[in-house]
Amino acid sequence: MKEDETGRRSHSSRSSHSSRTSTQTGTSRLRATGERKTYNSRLRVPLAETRGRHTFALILITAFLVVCAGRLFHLQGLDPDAYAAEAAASASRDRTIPAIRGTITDRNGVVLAKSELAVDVVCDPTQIADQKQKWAKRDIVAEISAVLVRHFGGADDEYRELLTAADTRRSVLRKAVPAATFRAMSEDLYKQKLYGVYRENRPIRQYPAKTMAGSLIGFMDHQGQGVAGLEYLLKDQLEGKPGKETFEMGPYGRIPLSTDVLIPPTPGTDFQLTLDSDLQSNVELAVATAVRNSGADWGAALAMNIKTGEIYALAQAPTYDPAQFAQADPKSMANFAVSQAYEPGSVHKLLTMAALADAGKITPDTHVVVPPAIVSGDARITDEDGHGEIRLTARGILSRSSNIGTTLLARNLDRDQYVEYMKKFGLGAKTGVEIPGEIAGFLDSGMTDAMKDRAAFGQSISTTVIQEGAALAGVFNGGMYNPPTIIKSATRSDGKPVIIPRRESRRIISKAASDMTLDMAENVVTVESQGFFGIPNFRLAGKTGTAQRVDPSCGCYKGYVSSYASVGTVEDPSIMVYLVINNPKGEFMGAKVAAPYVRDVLRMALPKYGVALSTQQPRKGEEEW
Amino acid sequence: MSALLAPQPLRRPAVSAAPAAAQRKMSGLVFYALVGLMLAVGMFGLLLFNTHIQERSAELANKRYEAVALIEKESALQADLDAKSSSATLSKKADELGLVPPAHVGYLNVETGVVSGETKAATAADLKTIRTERQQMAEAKAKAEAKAVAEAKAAGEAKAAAEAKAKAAAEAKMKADAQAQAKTDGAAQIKTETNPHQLAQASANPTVQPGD
Repeated sequence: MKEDETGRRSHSSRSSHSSRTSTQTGTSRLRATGERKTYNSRLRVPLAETRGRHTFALILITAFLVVCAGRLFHLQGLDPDAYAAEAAASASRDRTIPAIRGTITDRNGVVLAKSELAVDVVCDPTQIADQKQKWAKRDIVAEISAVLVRHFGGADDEYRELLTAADTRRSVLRKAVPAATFRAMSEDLYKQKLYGVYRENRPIRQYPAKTMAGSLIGFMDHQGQGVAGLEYLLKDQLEGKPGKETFEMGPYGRIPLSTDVLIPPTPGTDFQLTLDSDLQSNVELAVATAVRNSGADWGAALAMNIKTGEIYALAQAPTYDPAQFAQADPKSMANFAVSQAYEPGSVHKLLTMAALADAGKITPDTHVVVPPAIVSGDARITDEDGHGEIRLTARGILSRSSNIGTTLLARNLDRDQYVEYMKKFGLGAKTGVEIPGEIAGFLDSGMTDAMKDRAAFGQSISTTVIQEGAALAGVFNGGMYNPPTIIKSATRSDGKPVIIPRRESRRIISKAASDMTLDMAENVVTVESQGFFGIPNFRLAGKTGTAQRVDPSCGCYKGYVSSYASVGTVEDPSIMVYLVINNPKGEFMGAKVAAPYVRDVLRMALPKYGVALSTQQPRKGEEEW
Repeated sequence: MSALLAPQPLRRPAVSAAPAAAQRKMSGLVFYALVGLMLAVGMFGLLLFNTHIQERSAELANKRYEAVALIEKESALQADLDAKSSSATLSKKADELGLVPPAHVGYLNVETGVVSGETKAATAADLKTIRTERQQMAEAKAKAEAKAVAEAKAAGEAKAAAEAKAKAAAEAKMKADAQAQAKTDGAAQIKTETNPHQLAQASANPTVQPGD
């Protein structure tokens, strides 16, 4: 009953405007309510002349709305497009943010090609002329020129000329200046209250390794397009996507809280090569020395991890600096290892022997009677040393590089079988290495028997350095052919790896045939060269080649192509080096113009990659019987 | 009883019933002052807000400028570092220091502590084919100089020998003249004719420098 009453009273007191009613209840709860009411009631001041004020407010609001409506009609009704365009032009700004091009590094992360933020420095001669008028007492041009010389170097009078160029609003003062250098210069100009010098962003491509692997890396033209080498081949991935920023500008800079849409640029994909800068630079020194000493047209060398197909070094001489491509000799710009075909000569006997061993036609100790000459088609095949009738083992034939002996042995395979093996070895087709300009070489499936005889010792077929090198590597690698590759990995700008398409390894000959080929090739080092091609602690196998050179100008044989391929160690074949010297003058034997360089490179490379020392002494197999 | 329980009608608050103190009316002046105050506060608030935004905007612009400056600086420093750590620069520096590529490498087996392979120091005679053009030129020049010195020495020797020979010949001639004067002493003449050759040898030898 009491509760009921209290409830009712509180209800009634809430609707009451009287303060006295609430104070009469006596309960604390009601007192609180009453106090709030007291507070409310004090603010509730009735207006004196409601009507007049309503009218006043109404007129005010109506006037405001009329102005708004009028303005709206003015903007939207009369000529909306022109106004919209004018607004967009005056306020909205679009800025393209260039994407940073991907970096190319070697297998250890050493930079081979990288973009640096740089600018072209330009000026507006009309603005400078205005300043000259404004500050009659100052020599504006001299002041600006002094700042430019201090930061960029260069000649003072040249700058003066450019700063005062007539009839133009854009005069290029200097190109390819690092952005940070420009900024420092620009801050100095600002301090001296000098205006009219601007920047145009133009990233420059840096090739810190200079000529190293130049023909492989390639270069970019003046428009920033990759046009040669890997810069060309990988350009779509290297380039990335430019970003865009749209914002609104007022007279005092950006309008705060206005539209600001930023589409960030996507930097290009970074590529890591299989090359090793250390080895590459030393192999290049060796090739350059070889070419210098022999007066050859060019030389190219391939150093490869035969277990994986990774190219550790792909060197050539002559080469060029990608940053100075405009000054480069056009003859140095080709990548000889993939774009030049030549007849491989005696090095090719290794492949013939490997095929014969795999077909079960020979072992290293197969006995052969080698006559002074044999007839093949309407020609005679002879040997370099002009021997009489001699009795050689297959090993002796390879070691002494007997054309006659090799031809006789190769006749155990018919043409189709032989061609089939060569195709298996990858001849007559591109290897698919990631280098532009690769050619397929020449392997005639319909070759005559006489041509086949000559093919056995490396004539009447043509190959490239990379092709022949990869085939030899497959033979040495227990018969497993690894397609040669130059790209180790690629990483997108978000850190995710890009899958590099890999070609399958394949078996080209049996392990036993591979061992037999190595056995025969070791004699080249131990017996034929009497250890001259050998190095301490590592057993090597190798084969020289001295082929007649097909002169493209006459289509005839003129000069020589000399080469040497060597692999170490015989127990655990790991690293192969193959050097080809094209058209040496004077001395031309592969043993002289190529072999010593390959030997020295292997001497450096084998311990570098931790190839185990040989536990056995180099072996000298029987060559005669 | 039922009348007691029945809900009593609510007493309507009558405006007229309010106390006289609360019934005072707001004058026009106060009303306008109030509106003016609210407007002023609002405008001032807006002004503060705007100023704040402008300040932040300026700060943002500064930070952006700083960030871009730092990015550019980093790019320049990185380019410098790349150039300095490139094999082109390193091999040039190594070359200037007279370093040569290593030909002898030893392997240390950490389990057994056995060192295998070669542990000799590198020498200029190692890996002769891996040379910069400058090194090769320097070596060739040194070789050519050594050859020139040897040739000059040989030439000097030959000249000395020739001079000695001429001297000896002159002496021999003098002697021969003397002998001719004393034609009559037949036995003494034959003895002296064998002398010039011996003399030439003797006079040539002292021109050879020790240690050549």
